Amino acid sequence: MTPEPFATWRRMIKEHGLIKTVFLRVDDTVTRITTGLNINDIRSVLRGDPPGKPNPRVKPHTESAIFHIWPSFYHEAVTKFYPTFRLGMLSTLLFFVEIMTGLFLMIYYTPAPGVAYDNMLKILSNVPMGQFIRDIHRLAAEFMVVAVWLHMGRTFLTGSYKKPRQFTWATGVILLIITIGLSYTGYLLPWDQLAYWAVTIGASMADAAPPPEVGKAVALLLKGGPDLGAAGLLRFYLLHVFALPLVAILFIFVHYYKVVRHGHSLPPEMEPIGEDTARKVSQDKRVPFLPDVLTNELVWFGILMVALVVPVALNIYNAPLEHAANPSSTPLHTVAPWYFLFIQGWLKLGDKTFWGVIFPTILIGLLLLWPYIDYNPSRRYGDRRIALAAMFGVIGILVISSYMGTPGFAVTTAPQIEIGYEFMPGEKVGPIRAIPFDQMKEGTWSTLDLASIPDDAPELRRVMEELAAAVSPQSVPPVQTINGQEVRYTNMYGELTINIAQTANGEPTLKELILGIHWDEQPTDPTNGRPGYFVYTYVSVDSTYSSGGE
Amino acid sequence: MQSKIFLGTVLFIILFVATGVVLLNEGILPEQQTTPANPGTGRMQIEQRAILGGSKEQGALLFLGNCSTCHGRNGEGVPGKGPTLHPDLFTKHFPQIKSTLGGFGGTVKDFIRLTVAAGRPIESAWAIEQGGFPQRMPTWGKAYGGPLTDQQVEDIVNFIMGWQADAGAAQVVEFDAAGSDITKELPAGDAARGEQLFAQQVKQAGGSNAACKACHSLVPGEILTGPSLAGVATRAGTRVAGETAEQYIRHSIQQPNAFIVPDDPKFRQPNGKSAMPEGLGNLMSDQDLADLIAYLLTLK
Repeated sequence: MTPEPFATWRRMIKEHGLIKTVFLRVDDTVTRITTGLNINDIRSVLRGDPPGKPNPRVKPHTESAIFHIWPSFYHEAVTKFYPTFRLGMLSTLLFFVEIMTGLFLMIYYTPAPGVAYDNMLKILSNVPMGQFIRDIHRLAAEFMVVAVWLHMGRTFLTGSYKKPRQFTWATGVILLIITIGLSYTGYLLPWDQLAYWAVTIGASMADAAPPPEVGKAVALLLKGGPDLGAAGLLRFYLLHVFALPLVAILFIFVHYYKVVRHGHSLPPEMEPIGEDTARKVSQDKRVPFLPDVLTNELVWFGILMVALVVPVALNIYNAPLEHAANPSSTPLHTVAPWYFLFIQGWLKLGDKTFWGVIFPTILIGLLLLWPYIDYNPSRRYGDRRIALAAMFGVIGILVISSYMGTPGFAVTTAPQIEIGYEFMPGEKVGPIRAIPFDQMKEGTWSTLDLASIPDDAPELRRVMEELAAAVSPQSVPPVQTINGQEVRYTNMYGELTINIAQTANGEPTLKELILGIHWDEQPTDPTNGRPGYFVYTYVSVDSTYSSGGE
Repeated sequence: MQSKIFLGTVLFIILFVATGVVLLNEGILPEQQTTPANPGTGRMQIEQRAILGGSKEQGALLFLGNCSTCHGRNGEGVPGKGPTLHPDLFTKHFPQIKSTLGGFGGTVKDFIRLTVAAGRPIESAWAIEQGGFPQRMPTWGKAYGGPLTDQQVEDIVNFIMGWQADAGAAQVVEFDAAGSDITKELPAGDAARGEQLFAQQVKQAGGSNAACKACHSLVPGEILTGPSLAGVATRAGTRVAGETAEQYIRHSIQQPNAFIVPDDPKFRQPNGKSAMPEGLGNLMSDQDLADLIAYLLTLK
């Protein structure tokens, strides 16, 4: 027989007519795409009708590569907000948000010092939606660290790590470490001062790994040299975009396979002690994945995306970008990323090797082995008083240690340097730069003579009043204590000198701001040979500091 | 179920509206573009200006720390140390470069970048006109052995370029300069004003600071570039036969090559000229010169 073109179409048109044929073909295509649901099935899903028999909505779970990952029904008890809080699903969604936004950012990024920072500026100023995507990538990364931590806390709280889910818990701990690793390696990539010094602090932990030969080798392997440079940036980049995501995907699949294999653990109060009935779901407790659970998850996806997009669209959240990394100039009060602050806090307690490496390693080991250490078979809250007390104790310790990691704790420089940093920090904006450009009035303004500040500069006045409060004896701590006698600066005052540095057509385009801190018996400032302590900065008419820019 | 579908629909509408608003504000519409007459109004255009402004801010700090000693806080130049950048660079030096060095194809910005990054190994024509500078412009860029990164060099370049807008309109102060003529009758000198001139508390008639203290210390025996001026009033009368202290000091300022103090080899440049720059008299009036001399004569 000779093959004819469109044989099926011609046969069907002859049999059903043209309109019905088009409908049948469309219906067939829809059924192929949904792997089993035709237009009528979808319509009945959307109308909320009960499924027919046999249930066509189960078919995608056997036919579709995507849907076969999910169970075809959940136990009714785990479809509520409690006990899962949707944290595992949100973590996974955030991971995919990171992959999509990360792919976009990779297009405009070159992992090389000198180029990387320039790429950041280009993404902000020359790529439509560039800032938007970068902000979302950064915000979702912060959310992901929070979500994964909370997910672990929830699993501990409900005792879901107990038999038979010990291994699921262990893969979860590894995913937590990978998440933090992803966030930390990504931190360096903008190659600005914030990134460079925060990562330098963290990477110096590797140096402390015992014995010294191993520490040296690990640090060299990680940083690609004695200091972070081109080699280190490339290594962090490859870890961030390739190695860690690969391992993360592997562990996400293992983790989720185990979740499906064992079933979502039921609320602890529902199960007999020592048993696990998650897989034995009676007919009346079954909630089908299609459509109920999927709809629920899509709503959560919507909530998550709105929580990411709206703060970014309204400029409530902007990913930080400081000046280009300068290995020869360490900014004051350098801190590690917030999720490492607790380690920075421990480091202030003493030995770097013990508090920075050995102690955290012991804790990770304890976390991994916890399901085998905690032999109590009961998941009921009332039976787990010690474990729950330990959990809240650890949370308390982490919060306090994180506070200890901030510069406010046990790191003090001289008062004039602290005040200078507070009002005119080297990297962040600070109150003085945020004064609107036209309110930066030429002249010298002193906290001793606030009345002379012109009335059309209310922001200048407000900041000078703040400065007056900051230099007042009540708020300046003693410089040192000798034999129980507090030594304090006396008659402290601040002065802000504003000069016009550059003009165009007679209008100022660049202003010079000099913050001077003065007190009795002040030494001479080496930068300009005048008595007192001085901080210099310049502000351009095109800056956006007063409207929240950086 | 229905309420979830409704909620989900609302959420996704919020999502698309928010993203759409962001996109429309980005600066991709024709009316948001930057034209010579109008600065662009899109987010990207505002960001571009803010980034250039931020670069100038950084450049100004770097200029203050690294360049102002020789070129002045406002680019006015320091005689004997570094040439005037604002406005001469734009009004005189660069036009001269373009007319005499046909091979330089770059813009004034390229020229500034080249000079900051690579320094100036030989003396420029205008530098010789300004009386010569014993030091050459050092190299600043990392690629040429200097301390600054490409980004920092670019920041300084952007800051210096900020002077261009007003360079054409810069005020040229008209005054009767003392010059190199040592025969003119000088008015009576005021030592107190001379001291203020020396301390750079008041400016010379030409609008610049007297540069004396850049090279001359007042500490006995301390040699910065030139000899210490402590006790100059006593020494000056003994240097050249037939010259009084007053005549010798005046001669040294207006015609530094007539007599070079032999005490230290530093006082003489490799080309045989005095390290004391020529042309200082062009920056001061007769009164400035008289006041400075009167002040120096008090340093016994």
